[in-house]
Parts: sequence; C-alpha cells; structure tokens
Amino acid sequence: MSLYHFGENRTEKRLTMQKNKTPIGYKTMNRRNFLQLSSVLALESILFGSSVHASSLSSDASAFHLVIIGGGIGGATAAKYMRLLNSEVKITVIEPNKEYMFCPGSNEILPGWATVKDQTVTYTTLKNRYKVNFIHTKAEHVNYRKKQVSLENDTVLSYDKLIVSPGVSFDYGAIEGYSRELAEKSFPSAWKLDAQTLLLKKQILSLPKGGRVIISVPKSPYRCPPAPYERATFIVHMLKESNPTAKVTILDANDDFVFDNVYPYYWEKHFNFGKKNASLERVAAKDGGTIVKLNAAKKVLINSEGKEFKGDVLNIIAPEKAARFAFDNDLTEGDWCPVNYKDFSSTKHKDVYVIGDAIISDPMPKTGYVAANQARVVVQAINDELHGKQIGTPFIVNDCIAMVEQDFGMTLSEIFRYNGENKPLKARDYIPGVDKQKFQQKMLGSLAEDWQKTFRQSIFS
Amino acid sequence: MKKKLFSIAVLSVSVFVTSVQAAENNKTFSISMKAQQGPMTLQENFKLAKQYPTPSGWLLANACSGCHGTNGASFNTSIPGIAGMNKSEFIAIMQAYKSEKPSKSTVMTIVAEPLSDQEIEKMADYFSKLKATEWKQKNWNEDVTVPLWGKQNGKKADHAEK
Repeated sequence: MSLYHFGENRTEKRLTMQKNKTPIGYKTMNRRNFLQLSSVLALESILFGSSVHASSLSSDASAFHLVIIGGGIGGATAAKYMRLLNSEVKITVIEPNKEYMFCPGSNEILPGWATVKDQTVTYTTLKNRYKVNFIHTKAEHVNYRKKQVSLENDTVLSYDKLIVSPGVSFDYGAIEGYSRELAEKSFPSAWKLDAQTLLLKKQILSLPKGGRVIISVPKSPYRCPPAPYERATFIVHMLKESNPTAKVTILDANDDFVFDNVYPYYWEKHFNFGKKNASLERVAAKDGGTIVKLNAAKKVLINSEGKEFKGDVLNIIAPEKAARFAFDNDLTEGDWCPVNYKDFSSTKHKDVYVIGDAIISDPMPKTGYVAANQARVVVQAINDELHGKQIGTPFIVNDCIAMVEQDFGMTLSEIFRYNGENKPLKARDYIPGVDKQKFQQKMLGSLAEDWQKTFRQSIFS
Repeated sequence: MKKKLFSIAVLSVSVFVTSVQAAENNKTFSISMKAQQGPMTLQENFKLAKQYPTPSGWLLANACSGCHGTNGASFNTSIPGIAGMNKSEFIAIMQAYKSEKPSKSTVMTIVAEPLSDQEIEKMADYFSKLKATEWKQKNWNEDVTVPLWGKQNGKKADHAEK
C-alpha cells in the first residue's frame, strides 16, 4: 500500500517536472537525478505492470541511444526489457519486416494445427506501450569508430550502444547442386517461417501414394535442435490416414540428437520405427546420413560415400552460419560471431553486443528461449554500466516444453553458468525422457501449447 | 489472493502427480528412455554458482518469464503466475521441487534442480515485491493477428493507450 503511494507520488512529481522544464537527456542531466528517475520508473513498472511512461526524454536528441539491429526474438526482447529497466534511454530497432513470423511452433503449420496467421506477431505493443522506435529497413554498414549505422534508406543513425541480433543465413551452396533458387522452387529448406514452409506443406499433401519424404539434417549447430525430429513426426501424422504407406526418412549429419530418449520410443510405438514396415526411419551420421550432394533432376540426395537416396519430397535443411550482416560488418570468426559471455559484448568491436543464433554459442543451443535470455543479460549490463555499477553475473536457461504430437508432450531444462573471463559458459542439462502414462503425456502436450503463448507474450506483449 | 491460492494448488497437484508416477519409472524398454544429464554434475553446478556473485533478482526472475510471463505475471490454465507470491511460500515450494526426484512430467522439478539456495531466495524476494496483477494489455489480440489458442476475441480491443 505504502509502496503504491510512493510510486504514484513520484510519478506525479516527475510528470510535473517534465512539463515545466525542458527535457533532459542522459548526457546533460546529472547522474543523481538520472538514477533517481530511472529507478523510480523501473520500480513503478515492476509494481504496477502498467504502461511505461516513456517521456519526451526518450525522443530527445541528446538521450542515450540504444540501437538494435534485428527485430526477431533476441532484438525484440532486448528492446522491451531495456525499456522495463530504463524509461529514459532512446531505443531504436532496425528491422525490414513490419511483422514478425514466429519460428517456434511453426512446424505445426504442416499438419494444420497452426496457421501462418497464428504465427504472425506485430510490433504494435513494442512501439506503443514500450516507446520503441522502429525503422523498417535494412541496416547495412556500421562505422565503429564514429559509432554510426547506415541504413538502406540512406539514413545514418548514431548509437551509444549497439545490439546486433541478426539471426542466421542459409548456406544452400554447402550442398553441391543445391541453391536458394532450388530451395524456393523445388526442394524447400523451410527453416524459418516463410513461403518455403508452405511449399513443403503443399508437396507433402500431394505426395504420391506410398511416396517418400526425405528430411536432411545438417551438422550441428543449427537453429532449434529438436525441430527436424518434430517435423518428421508431424509429417507422418499428416500422412497417416490419407497416405498410410508413405514413408519419412531422416538423413542426419549427427549421431545423437536432443530428445533421443523420447522420440525413438514414440516412433517405435506409433510408426513401427526400427522395423521393415516403418513409416519413419533415420540414418545417423555413422551410418551414412551426411548429405553432400543433390541431383535435382533425379530427386536424389547423395551422401559422403556416394550412396544415393531417392525421394518424392526433399526437405533439405541447409547448413547455417551467421547472417550476412555479421560477415559484412566484421563481427564473425569462422561461421559465427565471437562474444564475451559475461555480457555478450563482441570481442571484435567496442560498445557492440551480439546475441541470438548468430553467435558462437556452444554449449548454449540456438533457440529463441536462449536468445531472449541473452537479450536480458545484455540490457542489464548496459543499464548497469549507465548507472556506474559493476556488471552482474549472467544467467541463462533454456527450458523447452515441446509437442511430440498434440496429446504427447516432453520437456527439458538446461542452465548455463558463468565460468570466468574468456571462457564459454558451462552447461547443466536435464532431459527426463518419456513419461509412460497417457494422462501425463497429455498434460505435457497441453503445457506445451500454453508455453507457446506465454513465450510470445513475454516478448511481444 | 485468489490467484495465489490457485498457483499453490497447481503446484501442489504437480508435486502429488510426481509421486504417483514414480512406480512407473522402474520398467525397462527396448529403447532407452532414461533421463539424460550433464555435462556438468550437479555438484559442479552448485560450486560454480557459489564461485561468482549471484545474478540479480531481476535477471533470475525474468529468466522464468519465457514460461511464466514478464515478471512472472502471465496467467493461464496450466502455468501459474508467480508475481506477488509470498516469499517464504515461494522458497518452500521451490525447495520442495528441488528435493524431489526430477520428474519426467513435472517441469518444475528439473527447472529447480540446479538452482542454488541464494538464487531461489533472490527470485522469491523479487517476486514477492511484485503486484499479483496479470501482465496483459488491451491490444494483445491485435498483436497476434489470430491468437494461437483459437478464436479471435471478437472486435479489436480499444487500443489507444494514452
């Protein structure tokens, strides 16, 4: 009760102050005022969960400017949670798309449990409630010395801190004979939600009787490790009634996979996995599952020993590396971006942070859940630095509640701990395996559905 | 208040369910369904947690937000909100999960397992100071063109936030 009044009074005072005085930006106001203001506002938003009273300060030219490149899960989380910590800074997100196609859950589009519309989120709340500026264009070049980003629309933005959350690019050319054009026209990768996802769906639905769908899985790391196995399972479900003699083959460039203490059990029980008449089979790397070549004319995939696999639908999940923006702007080392794991600052350029699927993340998997937690570590570090505080210890978890199918859920939990300067984080994973009881499986299935909602809300609402 | 009771009810049901299913776990199957854990042992995990300063309450609490919502204040049928939960109740529940054998279907037993006592206390402290009010906003339905969980809530909500 008393806290409530405290917050309310302070807000009033602050609003009065804004009316009477010219707006003050971070650089011109004295540190004590700044600290008082922002901590009260942070407290207020914590206590009331109400809209943040972003003031004229955040559009003031002299305000501290956080620029975020990429409005995916990492970038959007960074924008929202920076605002929750600090109502004063100016936040700008550069993102070419006006809507975000949510990748987690998008495999459900194939069996029709979700639609593209279900997966589409707008930036309305981030803009209106959290007073985040969006520029819907591409970021092109960063001048690290001048601390400026130039955009495709010829604007140049100055930043105080820059967060880069660019995602991945697909290296179609890594498989001989494969290309972006072929992915878009004939052999979809469908590894982010776009037209390729719908092409894949269409191809599966028009599969000839007794036909074969091949899913080729690249070597780790790639975005969302369990998703190929989820997809394979969903596809068998799609075909079970309309095309019961159809077959799904997973050609896997890896030996082990996440949830391999769940999927094989389910497959054995429902898809005759491991038997001759199986509707789903998997070839691990050690058995020749690594695909190196495509013969597009014959619809044949060829492994490293020259063995051929013919399919009617080829879903070639292309190998990945950091998005092109990261390569063009000297943020990479090898295929990914190196960072300091205390605050995800780039090891290559000052006042720049890189998060999400584009970084050298091991042992963290490339998941949205992890990207969101990395974003929170970064914005806290930036806010701490702004307040002259020591940067805190990072804390990253990856919790996943996933659907094997609608009535069968599973879960895992991972924690990644700070292990000192210049060292990767250390992982503790727990993947409990299958619960044999049907009601438990069903309960986890519905939990998985709720989790998809809360996860989206935690970023976009 | 109602909300808090509800959360505890949900949490206790999950704890009960764990013990019911314990008997099932002893059976063996042709394919390994055993729990996988690693690469750190639990002891190494706790040692590392002790070695560096405990992360902030804000960071710890919002690491939960992917499931429990921003500030732990997303309310739905199967994942309880935790904003505003009494500090000692939160600690008691989390410690109960932590001492429980990790369960295949009670998510919180595996989530709580590697958390240090200090981390649990900091989370408890943080959540207890929040208001148990749902983190929602009027125009949420507009943000997701059609909500995943089915029907669209009729007309667009009044969206202006003044």
